[in-house]
Parts: sequence; C-alpha cells; structure tokens
Amino acid sequence: MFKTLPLWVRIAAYVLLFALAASVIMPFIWMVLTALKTSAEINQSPFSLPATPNLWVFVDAWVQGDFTRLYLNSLGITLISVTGLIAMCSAAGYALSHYEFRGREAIFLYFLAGMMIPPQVIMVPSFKLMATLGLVNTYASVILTYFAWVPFAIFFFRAYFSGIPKELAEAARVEGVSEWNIFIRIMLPLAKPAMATVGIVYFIWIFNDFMWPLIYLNDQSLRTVTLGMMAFQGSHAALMNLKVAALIIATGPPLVIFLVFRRQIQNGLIEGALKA
Amino acid sequence: MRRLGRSHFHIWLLLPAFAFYTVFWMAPALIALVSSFTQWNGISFDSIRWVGLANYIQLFDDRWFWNALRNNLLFVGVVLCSIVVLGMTYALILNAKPRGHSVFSTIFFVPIVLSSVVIGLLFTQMLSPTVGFIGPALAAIGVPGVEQHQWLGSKDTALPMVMLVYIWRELGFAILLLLAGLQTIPNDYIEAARIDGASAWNITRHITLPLMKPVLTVVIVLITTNAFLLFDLVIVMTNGGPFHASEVLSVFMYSQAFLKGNPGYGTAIAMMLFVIILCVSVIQLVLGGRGRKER
Repeated sequence: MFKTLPLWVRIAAYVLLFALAASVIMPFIWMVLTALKTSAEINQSPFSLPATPNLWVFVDAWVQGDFTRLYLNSLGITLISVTGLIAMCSAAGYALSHYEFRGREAIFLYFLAGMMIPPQVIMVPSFKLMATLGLVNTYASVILTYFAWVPFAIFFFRAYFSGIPKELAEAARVEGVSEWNIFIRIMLPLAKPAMATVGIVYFIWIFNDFMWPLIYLNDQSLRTVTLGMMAFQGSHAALMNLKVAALIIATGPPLVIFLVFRRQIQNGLIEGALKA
Repeated sequence: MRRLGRSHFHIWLLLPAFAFYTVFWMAPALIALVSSFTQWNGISFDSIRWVGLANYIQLFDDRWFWNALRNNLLFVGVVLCSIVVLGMTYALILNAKPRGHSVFSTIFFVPIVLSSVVIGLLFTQMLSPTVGFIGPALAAIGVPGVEQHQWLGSKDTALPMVMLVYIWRELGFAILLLLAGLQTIPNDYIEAARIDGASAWNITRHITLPLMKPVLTVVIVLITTNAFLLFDLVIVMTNGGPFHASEVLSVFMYSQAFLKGNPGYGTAIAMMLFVIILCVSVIQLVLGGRGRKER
C-alpha cells in the first residue's frame, strides 16, 4: 500500500519516521556517552567521545544510589500490590457477571464511580488516615492504597467473565462441584489472558508511580526507584557522570523487559484501553 | 435447586475488593469533600473548624489558583492537539507498512514503559546549559542565543519544555492505540473504494477517519484526563517554578496541602480537579452516545 503513494508523500513520511526515532534514541546515546566520560570531558563538549571509557561508573552509581534496595523496594511493593489486586478483582468481577443478586448493578456502579475520583482528591485524607493508623513510613501505606485501585480491574474482569458461558458453571454444579472449586478450578484458569492484561497495566502503573511514595515514604530505606532517583539527581555530592549512569540504571531494566515482552505489553495496553 | 452455600458465595467474592476500595478510596474521597469546607492545621483533629464555603471563596480570589488553572488549561490544549495530530499522522504512516515499520514502532513505543520521573530527570539533565546537549546542538545549527539558555529556569520556556517532554512521553502510547484502531478497519472497505478510483487522501478522509471515531474518542479522553492531572513531570523538572510559571493544579494543591500546611485549602483545590474530570467524563458519555446513534 505504501508503494502506491506519490514520491513526495513517501519521502515526507520517512523524514517524520526518522525524526521521531532520533528523538527517542538520542537521549540514550547521550546518556551512555556522558556516563562514560570524566567530569572534565563533560564540561568541555556534550558531543565529544570519552577518551578512556570508565565502565566502573555503573558499579559506583549502583552502590552510591543504593539501587539494590531501590529495586527490591519497588519490585516488592509492585508485586504484592498487583497479585493482591488480581486476586480480589478477578473474584469481584466474576461475582458481578455470573451471580444474580439484589443490588448487583448498584455495586457495579459504586465500583465504577472511583474511576472519576483522581488520586489528588484523596491525597490529604489518605495521608491523615494512614497517619491515624500509624502506617506512614511503612510499605503497608502504599500497598493498601494500591489495593484500593480496583475500578479498572473489576471493570475489565467483569467484561471478560461475561464472555464465558454460564452453562459451564451450571454443568459443574450438576456434577456437585462446590462454588469455590468452580471459581478456582474452572473460571480462574479460563481468565488467564485477562489476568495477564490487568497484571501488565497495573505493573507499569504501580512500578512507575511517584505520588504515593512521595507522600508516604520519607524513610531512606523505604525509597522506591522513582523516589531514589529524584533524591540522587538532586544531591550535590554526586558527580555528573554518576548521575547519568544512575539514569541508565533506572531506564535499563524497563527497556529490556519491554523489548523481551513487547507483544504482551503492547496487547495488554491496547486491550486495557480500548476493550474496557 | 439452590443450595444454601451458593446464595451467599458472591458476597465472599466481592468482600475483599469492596472493603479495600471503600476504606482506602471512597471514604477518603468523602472526607475530602467534607474537609474542603473546613480549616485545620493538619496536625490534630481538634483544630478543625467548619468554615463553609470560605475555602472556595478564597480560591476564587487567589491569583495563584487562576494562574495554575490557566497553566493547566494551556497545557492540556497544547498537549492534546499535538498528540492527536502527530499520533494520527504516525499511525497512518505506520499502517501503510513502509519498509522498517516494525522497527520504527518498537522504537516509538519505548517511552511507554519508562516512568515520567526518570524521563523528567533525564530531560532536565539534557536541557541543562552546563552538561546538556540540546542548547549546544541548537546553537550548532545556527539558532542564536541558546547555548547558555536556562530552559527550565526561565519563565517563558519552563512550561513549554514540560509540554514537549510530556508529548515525547505520551506520543508512543497514542500511536499504539490509534494503530490498533486502524488495523481493525476491514480491508474490503478500502479495497472497494480504491477500485472505485478514490485517492489515498479521500479514502483517509471519508472512510478511515469516520471509522476511527470511537478509538479517537478514547484516546482524547485518556490524554485529556491524564494531562489535567499532570504532577510527576512538573515536580521533577521545575517544581512549579520559576515563580509559579509552570505550576499546574495538582502541584499547587500539593504545595498548599503538604508544604504550606493548609490541607483544607488544598482539598478545595483538589475538588476543582474532580469537577473538571467529571466534566470530561460527562462529555465523553455524551459524545459516545451520539456516535452510537449515527451508526
């Protein structure tokens, strides 16, 4: 189809494609070059190549930025939150689609209402609530708040389970399978694609979240990657090449994960945004 | 025949999600609504005083509120138009499958997985006059007076720079969704039109774009909502400065509630954000409903 277009359109299209690709790739090249230079070289010219590339800079940045701790904190918080959300919301979505009971629509609308309440609205009261519970400066404060982010996941699971015929559960019931086993052994295995989608969307949200860690986690040992990066870039003690090396450490793992799981992540985000 | 156990099973399924959602999302939202009518120091509950609409009246008299609202509207307007126009252009190009299209799309989608904090910090360094390359690069191609320019430190360029970085970050996501939408359009329609002698432009204008309306609506609503709630990038890149020049509502609210010790006032600002998001959702429902009737 592309070949049928007039020549000037094709040239213009390629100019646009290369321009955007360059804008994405350039920052990465700049990061690598700058991290490998000495401070004197950095001050001289942004375009020069490092005379003697110093690969230890990544080790130094990893240690100085305490990245082992940052990544463990971020991954721990994210994995617990995502697992909990998938468990709770698949159950709720299944209940809302496969059981008839009074007030079903009302409860569904109640869950949806949260989509219109931005986190900014509940920031102050949530902080007050966590302070009252004595949870500020604990992992629990952020995890409990993420556990409340249910609307999108419930909406998605409900839509997915609606597509599974009710006869399936009925047949199992006739056989005498308990309700619990119908859910755990029949329904949940069928919902694996929905779990993957919800998992991917929430993982990206929570891992990259900044606002809740910012207000809840002041303690240095609790910092997530986003918080730790902010502190490290702001510190005057760290050298420029170390700061840029830290940026590479923070962008590297998400980038590799994206390149490996590209299809799944893309489809997850598309499903999450368009099918819901 | 229904067994007794079954009639209550759905309650157990709903309970965990319901409990966390109610305690940690809806209850705080209700408290936010109530406390926007109070004044307190944020430390002890004894200091709470009922002040009625005073916070809101103060809000409408506060020039920094209007400043933040204006910045926010400007931000949403510029960012939305740019992302929709650029996103649609790139999606159409990639959908025509030029050589290397899958490599290009992989590169374009990279920013989606990076956090806005890290992106903000990265661009802050690249824009820095001492170590960054953007100023020197512009100077090298002959733009005058930019080599030492404080991109994030001067009033005129701080907000535009945040806009640029935001567009850089969100464009890939918009392209991803729009491209997915384009790929659902049946090829028969386009083939039939081409056999009838329609030009590429006419096919795009009269077949592709009308069929893309539902996806476009989703993209527009997502971008508008997210852009109104802009927080991370501003905190990281400019912290609202210099002198409020890049302050948007979320940042204004955060600084009032958490840094200036005025949680009641901060919550009133957050309520204005809620009203804006509500309006966007209502407009979406109205537009969505109209779109359905047309078909």
